[in-house]
Amino acid sequence: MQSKNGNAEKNEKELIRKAKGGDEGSFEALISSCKGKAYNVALRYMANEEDALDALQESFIKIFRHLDKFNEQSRFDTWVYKIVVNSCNDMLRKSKKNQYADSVYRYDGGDEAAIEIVDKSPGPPELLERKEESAYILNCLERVGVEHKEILVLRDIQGFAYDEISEILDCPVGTVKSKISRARQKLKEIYLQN
Amino acid sequence: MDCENVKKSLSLYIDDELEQNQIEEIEEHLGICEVCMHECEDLLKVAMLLRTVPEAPLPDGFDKRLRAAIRDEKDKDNAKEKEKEKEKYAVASRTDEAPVKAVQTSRAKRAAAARSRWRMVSGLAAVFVIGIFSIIVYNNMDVFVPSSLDGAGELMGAAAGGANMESGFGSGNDGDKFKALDESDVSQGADDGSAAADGGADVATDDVAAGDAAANDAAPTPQEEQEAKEPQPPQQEAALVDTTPAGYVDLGQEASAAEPANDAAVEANRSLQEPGNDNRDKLTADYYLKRLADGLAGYEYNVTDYTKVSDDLWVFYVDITLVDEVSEDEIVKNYLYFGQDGALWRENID
Repeated sequence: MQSKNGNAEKNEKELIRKAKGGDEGSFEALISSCKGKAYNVALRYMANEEDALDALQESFIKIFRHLDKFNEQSRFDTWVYKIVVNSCNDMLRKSKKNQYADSVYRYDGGDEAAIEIVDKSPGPPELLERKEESAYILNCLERVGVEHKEILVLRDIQGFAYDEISEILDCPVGTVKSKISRARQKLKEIYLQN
Repeated sequence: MDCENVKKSLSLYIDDELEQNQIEEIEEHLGICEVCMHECEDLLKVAMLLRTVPEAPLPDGFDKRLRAAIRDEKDKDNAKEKEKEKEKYAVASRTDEAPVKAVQTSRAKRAAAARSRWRMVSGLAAVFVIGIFSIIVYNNMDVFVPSSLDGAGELMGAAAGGANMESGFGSGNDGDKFKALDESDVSQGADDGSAAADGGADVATDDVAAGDAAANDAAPTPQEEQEAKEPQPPQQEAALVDTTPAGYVDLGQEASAAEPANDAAVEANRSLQEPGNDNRDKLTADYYLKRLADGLAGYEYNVTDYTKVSDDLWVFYVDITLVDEVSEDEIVKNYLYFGQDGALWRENID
Protein backbone atom coordinates (compact mmCIF):
# COMPACT_ATOMS: atom_id res chain seq x y z
CA MET A 1 0.00 0.00 0.00
CA GLN A 2 2.64 2.27 0.99
CA SER A 3 4.63 1.53 -2.10
CA LYS A 4 1.48 1.98 -4.16
CA ASN A 5 0.88 5.34 -2.60
CA GLY A 6 4.54 6.10 -3.03
CA ASN A 7 4.33 5.27 -6.74
CA ALA A 8 1.17 7.33 -7.11
CA GLU A 9 2.88 10.25 -5.46
CA LYS A 10 5.90 9.81 -7.66
CA ASN A 11 3.74 9.70 -10.73
CA GLU A 12 1.88 12.78 -9.65
CA LYS A 13 5.14 14.67 -9.19
CA GLU A 14 6.28 13.59 -12.63
CA LEU A 15 3.01 14.70 -14.17
CA ILE A 16 3.27 18.01 -12.38
CA ARG A 17 6.78 18.50 -13.68
CA LYS A 18 5.75 17.82 -17.24
CA ALA A 19 2.60 19.88 -17.00
CA LYS A 20 4.64 22.80 -15.71
CA GLY A 21 6.62 22.53 -18.89
CA GLY A 22 3.40 23.06 -20.88
CA ASP A 23 2.60 19.41 -21.65
CA GLU A 24 -1.18 19.34 -22.07
CA GLY A 25 -1.38 15.55 -21.91
CA SER A 26 0.32 15.49 -18.53
CA PHE A 27 -2.01 18.18 -17.34
CA GLU A 28 -5.08 16.23 -18.37
CA ALA A 29 -3.75 13.16 -16.60
CA LEU A 30 -3.02 15.23 -13.55
CA ILE A 31 -6.55 16.53 -13.22
CA SER A 32 -8.33 13.37 -14.26
CA SER A 33 -8.61 12.02 -10.67
CA CYS A 34 -10.09 15.17 -9.17
CA LYS A 35 -12.06 16.79 -11.94
CA GLY A 36 -15.26 14.91 -11.09
CA LYS A 37 -15.24 15.99 -7.49
CA ALA A 38 -14.19 19.46 -8.50
CA TYR A 39 -17.20 19.65 -10.77
CA ASN A 40 -19.55 18.62 -7.95
CA VAL A 41 -18.09 21.25 -5.68
CA ALA A 42 -18.74 23.82 -8.37
CA LEU A 43 -22.21 22.38 -9.04
CA ARG A 44 -23.27 22.62 -5.39
CA TYR A 45 -21.85 26.11 -5.16
CA MET A 46 -23.44 27.46 -8.32
CA ALA A 47 -26.59 25.31 -8.21
CA ASN A 48 -26.53 25.48 -11.98
CA GLU A 49 -24.82 23.10 -14.41
CA GLU A 50 -23.77 25.70 -16.97
CA ASP A 51 -22.40 28.05 -14.37
CA ALA A 52 -20.66 25.13 -12.71
CA LEU A 53 -18.98 24.12 -15.98
CA ASP A 54 -17.89 27.68 -16.63
CA ALA A 55 -16.45 27.92 -13.14
CA LEU A 56 -14.73 24.58 -13.56
CA GLN A 57 -13.23 25.49 -16.92
CA GLU A 58 -12.03 28.80 -15.62
CA SER A 59 -10.52 27.03 -12.62
CA PHE A 60 -8.60 24.54 -14.74
CA ILE A 61 -7.29 27.23 -17.04
CA LYS A 62 -6.05 29.13 -14.01
CA ILE A 63 -4.44 25.94 -12.74
CA PHE A 64 -2.76 25.31 -16.08
CA ARG A 65 -1.43 28.85 -16.33
CA HIS A 66 -0.25 29.10 -12.76
CA LEU A 67 0.95 25.57 -12.22
CA ASP A 68 4.38 26.93 -11.42
CA LYS A 69 2.90 28.52 -8.30
CA PHE A 70 1.75 25.18 -6.92
CA ASN A 71 3.46 24.44 -3.66
CA GLU A 72 4.28 20.76 -3.96
CA GLN A 73 4.37 20.38 -0.23
CA SER A 74 0.52 20.22 -0.20
CA ARG A 75 -1.77 17.89 -2.06
CA PHE A 76 -2.53 18.74 -5.65
CA ASP A 77 -6.25 17.95 -5.52
CA THR A 78 -6.69 20.09 -2.40
CA TRP A 79 -5.08 22.94 -4.31
CA VAL A 80 -7.49 22.31 -7.18
CA TYR A 81 -10.56 22.43 -4.91
CA LYS A 82 -9.31 25.61 -3.36
CA ILE A 83 -9.09 27.26 -6.76
CA VAL A 84 -12.53 25.95 -7.68
CA VAL A 85 -14.09 27.36 -4.48
CA ASN A 86 -12.45 30.72 -5.11
CA SER A 87 -13.57 30.79 -8.73
CA CYS A 88 -17.13 29.98 -7.69
CA ASN A 89 -17.13 32.71 -5.08
CA ASP A 90 -15.79 35.16 -7.65
CA MET A 91 -18.48 34.25 -10.12
CA LEU A 92 -21.21 34.51 -7.48
CA ARG A 93 -19.97 37.96 -6.51
CA LYS A 94 -19.85 39.08 -10.11
CA SER A 95 -23.27 37.76 -10.99
CA LYS A 96 -24.73 39.08 -7.70
CA LYS A 97 -27.05 36.19 -7.62
CA ASN A 98 -29.50 35.84 -4.81
CA GLN A 99 -28.83 32.51 -3.15
CA TYR A 100 -32.55 31.98 -2.93
CA ALA A 101 -33.38 32.78 -6.54
CA ASP A 102 -33.87 30.50 -9.49
CA SER A 103 -32.35 27.46 -7.98
CA VAL A 104 -32.77 24.19 -9.78
CA TYR A 105 -33.36 22.73 -6.37
CA ARG A 106 -36.77 24.35 -6.14
CA TYR A 107 -39.12 22.29 -4.05
CA ASP A 108 -42.76 22.65 -4.91
CA GLY A 109 -44.20 20.70 -2.09
CA GLY A 110 -43.46 17.20 -3.14
CA ASP A 111 -45.22 16.88 -6.49
CA GLU A 112 -42.20 17.54 -8.60
CA ALA A 113 -38.51 17.62 -7.99
CA ALA A 114 -36.83 19.99 -10.48
CA ILE A 115 -33.33 18.63 -10.26
CA GLU A 116 -31.58 18.33 -13.61
CA ILE A 117 -28.93 16.04 -12.44
CA VAL A 118 -31.33 13.47 -11.04
CA ASP A 119 -32.50 10.69 -13.14
CA LYS A 120 -36.14 11.34 -13.76
CA SER A 121 -36.94 7.84 -14.81
CA PRO A 122 -39.47 6.19 -12.53
CA GLY A 123 -38.07 3.86 -9.93
CA PRO A 124 -38.82 2.30 -6.57
CA PRO A 125 -40.67 4.52 -4.04
CA GLU A 126 -37.67 4.59 -1.78
CA LEU A 127 -35.55 5.99 -4.54
CA LEU A 128 -38.22 8.55 -5.43
CA GLU A 129 -38.48 9.52 -1.81
CA ARG A 130 -34.77 9.88 -1.62
CA LYS A 131 -34.77 12.02 -4.69
CA GLU A 132 -37.43 14.23 -3.23
CA GLU A 133 -35.58 14.50 -0.03
CA SER A 134 -32.37 15.35 -1.84
CA ALA A 135 -34.13 17.98 -3.83
CA TYR A 136 -35.67 19.35 -0.70
CA ILE A 137 -32.41 19.45 1.28
CA LEU A 138 -30.62 21.05 -1.60
CA ASN A 139 -33.35 23.60 -1.75
CA CYS A 140 -32.90 24.23 1.95
CA LEU A 141 -29.18 24.48 1.29
CA GLU A 142 -29.83 27.40 -1.01
CA ARG A 143 -31.47 29.23 1.87
CA VAL A 144 -28.83 28.96 4.56
CA GLY A 145 -26.62 31.70 3.17
CA VAL A 146 -23.40 31.63 1.16
CA GLU A 147 -21.04 31.11 4.06
CA HIS A 148 -23.06 28.25 5.62
CA LYS A 149 -23.61 26.70 2.22
CA GLU A 150 -19.90 26.71 1.48
CA ILE A 151 -18.93 24.74 4.59
CA LEU A 152 -21.83 22.31 4.20
CA VAL A 153 -20.93 21.59 0.54
CA LEU A 154 -17.34 20.86 1.47
CA ARG A 155 -18.05 18.88 4.61
CA ASP A 156 -21.34 17.09 4.17
CA ILE A 157 -21.76 16.87 0.39
CA GLN A 158 -18.14 16.37 -0.67
CA GLY A 159 -16.93 14.78 2.53
CA PHE A 160 -13.70 16.69 2.94
CA ALA A 161 -11.95 16.25 6.24
CA TYR A 162 -11.66 19.14 8.67
CA ASP A 163 -7.97 19.66 7.89
CA GLU A 164 -8.67 19.60 4.14
CA ILE A 165 -11.40 22.18 4.58
CA SER A 166 -8.99 24.23 6.66
CA GLU A 167 -6.53 24.18 3.75
CA ILE A 168 -9.13 24.87 1.07
CA LEU A 169 -10.66 27.79 2.93
CA ASP A 170 -7.35 28.89 4.34
CA CYS A 171 -8.62 29.12 7.91
CA PRO A 172 -7.86 27.32 11.21
CA VAL A 173 -9.42 23.96 11.99
CA GLY A 174 -11.16 25.40 15.03
CA THR A 175 -12.89 27.90 12.78
CA VAL A 176 -13.95 25.06 10.48
CA LYS A 177 -15.54 23.20 13.42
CA SER A 178 -17.52 26.19 14.60
CA LYS A 179 -18.58 26.97 11.04
CA ILE A 180 -19.87 23.46 10.54
CA SER A 181 -21.79 23.53 13.79
CA ARG A 182 -23.50 26.82 13.01
CA ALA A 183 -24.21 25.84 9.40
CA ARG A 184 -25.89 22.57 10.40
CA GLN A 185 -27.98 24.32 13.01
CA LYS A 186 -29.20 26.77 10.41
CA LEU A 187 -29.93 24.06 7.85
CA LYS A 188 -31.84 22.09 10.45
CA GLU A 189 -34.01 25.06 11.31
CA ILE A 190 -34.84 25.63 7.64
CA TYR A 191 -35.38 21.97 7.03
CA LEU A 192 -37.80 21.67 9.93
CA GLN A 193 -39.81 24.73 8.90
CA ASN A 194 -41.45 22.73 6.19
CA MET B 1 -22.37 18.17 30.87
CA ASP B 2 -25.36 20.47 30.55
CA CYS B 3 -27.70 20.79 27.58
CA GLU B 4 -26.09 23.96 26.21
CA ASN B 5 -22.62 22.47 26.05
CA VAL B 6 -23.98 19.23 24.63
CA LYS B 7 -25.81 21.06 21.86
CA LYS B 8 -22.62 22.91 20.96
CA SER B 9 -20.70 19.65 20.68
CA LEU B 10 -23.29 17.60 18.77
CA SER B 11 -21.88 18.48 15.34
CA LEU B 12 -18.42 17.29 16.37
CA TYR B 13 -19.98 14.25 17.97
CA ILE B 14 -21.68 13.40 14.68
CA ASP B 15 -18.37 13.77 12.82
CA ASP B 16 -16.46 11.78 15.45
CA GLU B 17 -14.19 14.70 16.12
CA LEU B 18 -14.33 14.48 19.95
CA GLU B 19 -12.10 12.83 22.51
CA GLN B 20 -13.32 9.62 23.99
CA ASN B 21 -14.15 11.09 27.37
CA GLN B 22 -16.18 13.83 25.70
CA ILE B 23 -18.07 11.25 23.67
CA GLU B 24 -18.95 9.32 26.84
CA GLU B 25 -20.21 12.44 28.56
CA ILE B 26 -22.40 13.35 25.65
CA GLU B 27 -23.83 9.85 25.30
CA GLU B 28 -24.53 9.80 28.99
CA HIS B 29 -26.44 13.07 28.71
CA LEU B 30 -28.28 12.00 25.60
CA GLY B 31 -29.44 8.95 27.50
CA ILE B 32 -31.28 11.10 29.99
CA CYS B 33 -32.21 14.18 27.94
CA GLU B 34 -34.83 13.78 25.20
CA VAL B 35 -34.52 17.37 23.96
CA CYS B 36 -30.82 17.03 23.28
CA MET B 37 -31.48 13.57 21.82
CA HIS B 38 -33.96 15.01 19.27
CA GLU B 39 -31.56 17.81 18.49
CA CYS B 40 -28.86 15.29 17.77
CA GLU B 41 -31.17 13.26 15.54
CA ASP B 42 -32.20 16.28 13.47
CA LEU B 43 -28.61 17.36 12.94
CA LEU B 44 -27.63 13.91 11.92
CA LYS B 45 -30.49 13.70 9.43
CA VAL B 46 -29.68 16.89 7.56
CA ALA B 47 -26.02 15.95 7.47
CA MET B 48 -26.89 12.51 6.12
CA LEU B 49 -29.25 13.98 3.56
CA LEU B 50 -26.46 16.12 2.22
CA ARG B 51 -24.10 13.21 2.22
CA THR B 52 -26.50 11.15 0.17
CA VAL B 53 -26.94 13.77 -2.53
CA PRO B 54 -25.68 11.85 -5.53
CA GLU B 55 -22.52 12.92 -7.19
CA ALA B 56 -23.21 14.36 -10.61
CA PRO B 57 -21.10 13.00 -13.42
CA LEU B 58 -19.02 15.41 -15.39
CA PRO B 59 -20.93 16.14 -18.57
CA ASP B 60 -19.59 14.67 -21.76
CA GLY B 61 -17.65 16.98 -23.88
CA PHE B 62 -16.14 18.87 -20.98
CA ASP B 63 -12.70 17.43 -21.68
CA LYS B 64 -12.88 18.56 -25.28
CA ARG B 65 -14.16 21.94 -24.25
CA LEU B 66 -11.35 22.32 -21.72
CA ARG B 67 -8.73 21.23 -24.22
CA ALA B 68 -9.95 23.82 -26.73
CA ALA B 69 -10.05 26.48 -24.06
CA ILE B 70 -6.48 25.74 -23.02
CA ARG B 71 -5.29 25.93 -26.59
CA ASP B 72 -7.06 29.23 -27.04
CA GLU B 73 -5.29 30.51 -24.02
CA LYS B 74 -1.96 29.33 -25.34
CA ASP B 75 -2.65 30.99 -28.69
CA LYS B 76 -3.52 34.20 -26.91
CA ASP B 77 -0.34 34.00 -24.93
CA ASN B 78 1.68 33.41 -28.10
CA ALA B 79 -0.02 36.34 -29.78
CA LYS B 80 0.76 38.54 -26.80
CA GLU B 81 4.35 37.40 -26.89
CA LYS B 82 4.56 38.26 -30.57
CA GLU B 83 3.08 41.65 -29.91
CA LYS B 84 5.61 42.24 -27.20
CA GLU B 85 8.36 41.19 -29.56
CA LYS B 86 7.06 43.59 -32.18
CA GLU B 87 6.91 46.38 -29.71
CA LYS B 88 10.36 45.52 -28.53
CA TYR B 89 11.60 45.61 -32.08
CA ALA B 90 9.81 48.86 -32.78
CA VAL B 91 11.22 50.39 -29.64
CA ALA B 92 14.63 49.07 -30.58
CA SER B 93 14.28 50.62 -34.03
CA ARG B 94 13.32 53.94 -32.55
CA THR B 95 16.07 53.77 -30.05
CA ASP B 96 18.49 52.91 -32.87
CA GLU B 97 17.79 56.35 -34.24
CA ALA B 98 17.96 57.85 -30.84
CA PRO B 99 21.53 56.73 -30.32
CA VAL B 100 22.49 58.20 -33.70
CA LYS B 101 20.89 61.49 -32.87
CA ALA B 102 22.31 61.29 -29.42
CA VAL B 103 25.75 60.70 -30.94
CA GLN B 104 25.27 63.60 -33.33
CA THR B 105 24.11 65.85 -30.56
CA SER B 106 26.92 64.64 -28.44
CA ARG B 107 29.42 65.35 -31.20
CA ALA B 108 28.03 68.82 -31.73
CA LYS B 109 28.22 69.48 -28.06
CA ARG B 110 31.75 68.19 -27.87
CA ALA B 111 32.71 70.35 -30.85
CA ALA B 112 31.13 73.40 -29.25
CA ALA B 113 32.83 72.62 -25.98
CA ALA B 114 36.13 72.19 -27.81
CA ARG B 115 35.70 75.51 -29.55
CA SER B 116 34.85 77.16 -26.27
CA ARG B 117 37.88 75.65 -24.64
CA TRP B 118 40.05 76.73 -27.58
CA ARG B 119 38.81 80.27 -27.28
CA MET B 120 39.49 80.28 -23.62
CA VAL B 121 42.94 78.84 -24.10
CA SER B 122 43.68 81.31 -26.87
CA GLY B 123 42.56 84.16 -24.68
CA LEU B 124 44.67 83.00 -21.81
CA ALA B 125 47.64 82.56 -24.10
CA ALA B 126 47.23 86.08 -25.43
CA VAL B 127 47.05 87.52 -21.95
CA PHE B 128 50.07 85.48 -20.98
CA VAL B 129 52.08 86.74 -23.95
CA ILE B 130 51.15 90.31 -23.27
CA GLY B 131 52.02 89.89 -19.65
CA ILE B 132 55.42 88.38 -20.44
CA PHE B 133 56.13 91.13 -22.94
CA SER B 134 55.16 93.73 -20.43
CA ILE B 135 57.42 92.21 -17.83
CA ILE B 136 60.32 92.09 -20.28
CA VAL B 137 59.84 95.67 -21.25
CA TYR B 138 59.36 96.70 -17.71
CA ASN B 139 62.40 94.92 -16.44
CA ASN B 140 64.55 96.68 -18.97
CA MET B 141 63.42 100.10 -18.02
CA ASP B 142 65.57 101.92 -15.59
CA VAL B 143 63.81 105.20 -15.48
CA PHE B 144 62.49 104.62 -12.04
CA VAL B 145 65.83 104.43 -10.55
CA PRO B 146 66.85 107.92 -9.81
CA SER B 147 70.36 107.44 -11.08
CA SER B 148 69.88 110.81 -12.64
CA LEU B 149 70.27 112.43 -9.32
CA ASP B 150 73.04 113.92 -11.28
CA GLY B 151 70.33 115.48 -13.32
CA ALA B 152 70.01 112.79 -15.90
CA GLY B 153 66.29 112.32 -16.28
CA GLU B 154 65.44 108.89 -17.51
CA LEU B 155 62.91 108.28 -20.10
CA MET B 156 60.50 105.42 -20.00
CA GLY B 157 58.82 104.62 -23.21
CA ALA B 158 58.78 108.27 -23.76
CA ALA B 159 58.52 108.20 -27.51
CA ALA B 160 54.81 108.60 -27.63
CA GLY B 161 54.80 110.47 -24.38
CA GLY B 162 57.24 113.04 -25.59
CA ALA B 163 55.45 113.43 -28.85
CA ASN B 164 52.09 113.78 -27.19
CA MET B 165 53.07 116.22 -24.62
CA GLU B 166 50.96 119.23 -24.49
CA SER B 167 52.43 122.43 -25.70
CA GLY B 168 52.67 123.53 -22.15
CA PHE B 169 55.06 120.77 -21.57
CA GLY B 170 56.64 120.56 -24.93
CA SER B 171 59.14 118.02 -26.13
CA GLY B 172 62.04 116.57 -24.40
CA ASN B 173 63.98 119.71 -24.91
CA ASP B 174 61.22 121.63 -23.37
CA GLY B 175 61.56 119.36 -20.45
CA ASP B 176 64.13 121.80 -19.27
CA LYS B 177 61.28 123.92 -18.28
CA PHE B 178 60.06 121.31 -15.91
CA LYS B 179 62.19 121.74 -13.00
CA ALA B 180 62.42 118.73 -10.82
CA LEU B 181 63.60 120.05 -7.58
CA ASP B 182 67.24 119.47 -7.37
CA GLU B 183 69.54 119.95 -4.53
CA SER B 184 69.80 123.62 -5.16
CA ASP B 185 66.18 123.97 -4.37
CA VAL B 186 66.37 121.85 -1.32
CA SER B 187 67.33 123.31 1.91
CA GLN B 188 69.38 121.27 4.26
CA GLY B 189 67.18 119.20 6.44
CA ALA B 190 63.88 117.60 5.92
CA ASP B 191 61.94 120.66 6.82
CA ASP B 192 62.53 122.12 3.52
CA GLY B 193 61.26 119.05 1.84
CA SER B 194 57.70 120.10 1.97
CA ALA B 195 58.54 123.65 1.11
CA ALA B 196 60.57 122.39 -1.72
CA ALA B 197 57.72 120.16 -2.70
CA ASP B 198 55.41 123.04 -2.64
CA GLY B 199 57.92 125.02 -4.49
CA GLY B 200 58.28 122.23 -6.89
CA ALA B 201 54.59 121.99 -7.26
CA ASP B 202 54.40 125.67 -7.75
CA VAL B 203 57.15 125.48 -10.21
CA ALA B 204 55.35 122.78 -12.06
CA THR B 205 52.10 124.67 -11.91
CA ASP B 206 53.74 127.84 -12.93
CA ASP B 207 55.40 126.02 -15.68
CA VAL B 208 52.14 124.66 -16.88
CA ALA B 209 50.66 128.10 -16.84
CA ALA B 210 53.69 129.63 -18.30
CA GLY B 211 54.38 126.84 -20.65
CA ASP B 212 52.51 128.34 -23.49
CA ALA B 213 53.98 131.74 -22.87
CA ALA B 214 57.43 130.31 -22.58
CA ALA B 215 56.94 128.29 -25.67
CA ASN B 216 55.69 131.28 -27.49
CA ASP B 217 58.21 133.66 -26.19
CA ALA B 218 61.32 131.58 -26.68
CA ALA B 219 62.78 131.60 -30.10
CA PRO B 220 62.89 128.04 -31.35
CA THR B 221 66.21 126.72 -32.40
CA PRO B 222 66.52 124.87 -35.67
CA GLN B 223 66.75 121.70 -33.80
CA GLU B 224 63.66 122.53 -31.88
CA GLU B 225 61.82 123.41 -35.01
CA GLN B 226 62.72 120.11 -36.50
CA GLU B 227 61.69 118.21 -33.45
CA ALA B 228 58.46 120.09 -33.30
CA LYS B 229 57.74 118.98 -36.80
CA GLU B 230 58.86 115.46 -36.22
CA PRO B 231 57.92 114.34 -32.78
CA GLN B 232 60.71 112.39 -31.31
CA PRO B 233 61.20 110.72 -28.05
CA PRO B 234 62.80 113.02 -25.56
CA GLN B 235 66.53 112.67 -25.78
CA GLN B 236 68.06 111.39 -22.73
CA GLU B 237 71.04 113.67 -22.96
CA ALA B 238 68.87 116.70 -23.43
CA ALA B 239 67.05 116.00 -20.27
CA LEU B 240 69.80 114.61 -18.26
CA VAL B 241 71.75 116.88 -16.13
CA ASP B 242 73.83 115.44 -13.50
CA THR B 243 72.75 117.08 -10.33
CA THR B 244 73.76 114.32 -8.08
CA PRO B 245 75.69 115.84 -5.29
CA ALA B 246 78.95 114.31 -4.58
CA GLY B 247 78.76 111.60 -2.11
CA TYR B 248 75.22 110.76 -2.71
CA VAL B 249 74.42 107.25 -3.42
CA ASP B 250 73.81 106.70 -7.02
CA LEU B 251 71.14 104.29 -7.35
CA GLY B 252 69.88 102.46 -10.30
CA GLN B 253 72.59 103.45 -12.75
CA GLU B 254 71.94 100.32 -14.63
CA ALA B 255 68.58 101.49 -15.66
CA SER B 256 69.75 104.30 -17.80
CA ALA B 257 68.77 103.53 -21.31
CA ALA B 258 65.71 105.06 -22.73
CA GLU B 259 63.24 102.48 -23.48
CA PRO B 260 61.14 102.31 -26.49
CA ALA B 261 57.51 102.92 -26.10
CA ASN B 262 55.73 100.15 -24.31
CA ASP B 263 53.00 99.50 -26.77
CA ALA B 264 51.16 97.14 -24.57
CA ALA B 265 51.24 99.53 -21.64
CA VAL B 266 50.19 102.36 -23.89
CA GLU B 267 47.34 100.28 -25.15
CA ALA B 268 46.35 99.33 -21.65
CA ASN B 269 46.42 102.90 -20.55
CA ARG B 270 44.53 104.05 -23.59
CA SER B 271 41.86 101.50 -22.91
CA LEU B 272 41.45 102.99 -19.51
CA GLN B 273 40.86 106.38 -20.96
CA GLU B 274 37.91 105.62 -23.07
CA PRO B 275 35.46 108.49 -22.99
CA GLY B 276 32.82 108.04 -20.38
CA ASN B 277 34.89 105.83 -18.05
CA ASP B 278 34.32 107.46 -14.75
CA ASN B 279 36.85 105.32 -13.02
CA ARG B 280 39.48 105.59 -15.65
CA ASP B 281 41.29 108.41 -13.92
CA LYS B 282 41.59 106.41 -10.79
CA LEU B 283 42.66 103.36 -12.65
CA THR B 284 45.20 105.34 -14.62
CA ALA B 285 46.60 106.99 -11.53
CA ASP B 286 46.79 103.65 -9.80
CA TYR B 287 48.60 102.22 -12.73
CA TYR B 288 51.28 104.90 -12.71
CA LEU B 289 51.62 104.77 -8.97
CA LYS B 290 52.16 101.06 -9.23
CA ARG B 291 54.84 101.65 -11.81
CA LEU B 292 56.43 104.17 -9.51
CA ALA B 293 56.35 101.74 -6.63
CA ASP B 294 57.96 99.04 -8.70
CA GLY B 295 60.59 101.35 -10.04
CA LEU B 296 61.42 102.93 -6.70
CA ALA B 297 61.48 99.66 -4.81
CA GLY B 298 64.23 99.98 -2.25
CA TYR B 299 63.96 103.73 -2.02
CA GLU B 300 62.21 105.72 0.57
CA TYR B 301 59.90 107.92 -1.34
CA ASN B 302 56.68 109.77 -1.02
CA VAL B 303 54.28 110.80 -3.73
CA THR B 304 53.21 114.12 -2.41
CA ASP B 305 50.79 114.88 -5.16
CA TYR B 306 49.76 113.93 -8.59
CA THR B 307 47.48 115.42 -11.11
CA LYS B 308 46.11 114.91 -14.52
CA VAL B 309 47.15 117.78 -16.64
CA SER B 310 45.47 116.69 -19.85
CA ASP B 311 43.49 113.80 -21.22
CA ASP B 312 46.45 111.52 -21.26
CA LEU B 313 49.21 113.25 -19.34
CA TRP B 314 49.79 112.82 -15.68
CA VAL B 315 52.40 114.36 -13.46
CA PHE B 316 53.54 112.94 -10.14
CA TYR B 317 55.41 114.83 -7.47
CA VAL B 318 57.73 112.49 -5.70
CA ASP B 319 60.02 113.07 -2.77
CA ILE B 320 62.87 110.64 -2.60
CA THR B 321 65.01 110.28 0.48
CA LEU B 322 68.68 109.90 -0.24
CA VAL B 323 71.51 109.09 2.16
CA ASP B 324 74.83 110.83 2.10
CA GLU B 325 77.48 108.23 1.82
CA VAL B 326 79.89 110.02 4.01
CA SER B 327 77.83 111.85 6.51
CA GLU B 328 75.00 109.46 6.35
CA ASP B 329 72.69 112.38 6.40
CA GLU B 330 69.34 111.98 4.79
CA ILE B 331 68.16 114.41 2.25
CA VAL B 332 64.90 114.52 0.45
CA LYS B 333 64.90 115.40 -3.14
CA ASN B 334 61.86 116.23 -5.18
CA TYR B 335 61.21 114.88 -8.58
CA LEU B 336 58.58 115.09 -11.22
CA TYR B 337 57.43 111.98 -12.95
CA PHE B 338 55.25 112.04 -15.99
CA GLY B 339 52.86 109.45 -17.18
CA GLN B 340 51.41 109.29 -20.63
CA ASP B 341 50.05 106.43 -22.76
CA GLY B 342 51.27 103.95 -20.25
CA ALA B 343 54.78 105.31 -20.19
CA LEU B 344 56.30 106.81 -17.10
CA TRP B 345 59.42 108.90 -17.01
CA ARG B 346 61.29 111.40 -14.99
CA GLU B 347 62.79 114.50 -16.25
CA ASN B 348 65.23 116.71 -14.65
CA ILE B 349 65.73 120.15 -15.44
CA ASP B 350 68.92 121.89 -15.07
